[in-house]
Amino acid sequence: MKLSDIMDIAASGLSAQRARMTVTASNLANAETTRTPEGGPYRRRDVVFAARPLPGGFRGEIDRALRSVQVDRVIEDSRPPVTRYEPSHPDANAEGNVLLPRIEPVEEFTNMLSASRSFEANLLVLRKAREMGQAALRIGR
Amino acid sequence: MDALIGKAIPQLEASLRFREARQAVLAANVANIDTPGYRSADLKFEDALGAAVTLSRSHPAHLSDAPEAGSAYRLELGPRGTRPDGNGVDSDRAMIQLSRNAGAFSDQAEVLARLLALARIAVTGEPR
Repeated sequence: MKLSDIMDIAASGLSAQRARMTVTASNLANAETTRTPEGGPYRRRDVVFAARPLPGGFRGEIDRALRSVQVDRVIEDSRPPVTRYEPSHPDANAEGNVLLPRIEPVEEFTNMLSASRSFEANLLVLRKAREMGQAALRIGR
Repeated sequence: MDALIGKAIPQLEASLRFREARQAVLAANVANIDTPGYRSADLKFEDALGAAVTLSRSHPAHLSDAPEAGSAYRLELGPRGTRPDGNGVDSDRAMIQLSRNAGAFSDQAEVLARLLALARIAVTGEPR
């Protein structure tokens, strides 16, 4: 059962990092978005991870200490939008200013790189677990 | 023969169980590499090994000298993180621990497989 725990934990890491990557992609894609359903320019989003105990009934002390990861919530950036003077823009106000999302490409790229690296780390965990399973199978050969 | 089959096999089995349990703890560290406030954890082997080596039957009715898996493991939490989000996982260290532990598991599983093959020869009198 332990190997399946390892797989579950690694899978939780993969999906959490993928969610983080998706949010980063959304931020970059909407770097110039001035209209949103909730009104105003797009607001930069970020994920917050939280450790979560593994599900399941009868577990020992060590197993109960195991934590997978999940996206706890998606937060919106509270920094004010950027103002740009562009009178011809359809969303410009009376003064000719447009409110644009505050997206810093460097920030997003860093986040993306970090998510990608963490994703690969979880992938390695999965690969190692499979190797261990194969080694265990060879015992009974 | 007793030293080879009778002791080494239960010890290897105990070690494999430990490596497997530890791998799950290390996997949790990697999964939580970006979780705010998460402290890395590790499972300690010394106690388990000591128990495996020193346990002896004090009564003939006792079953085996193999330790009960999990009973002697000690979970240790790492220091609080110095990163702004309070995460205490050192990613390089976590990956190295993970790889070494998995390697040790595979090596010991291989040794156990060979010991069992030897035991099979001892029982049947012929190599496969």
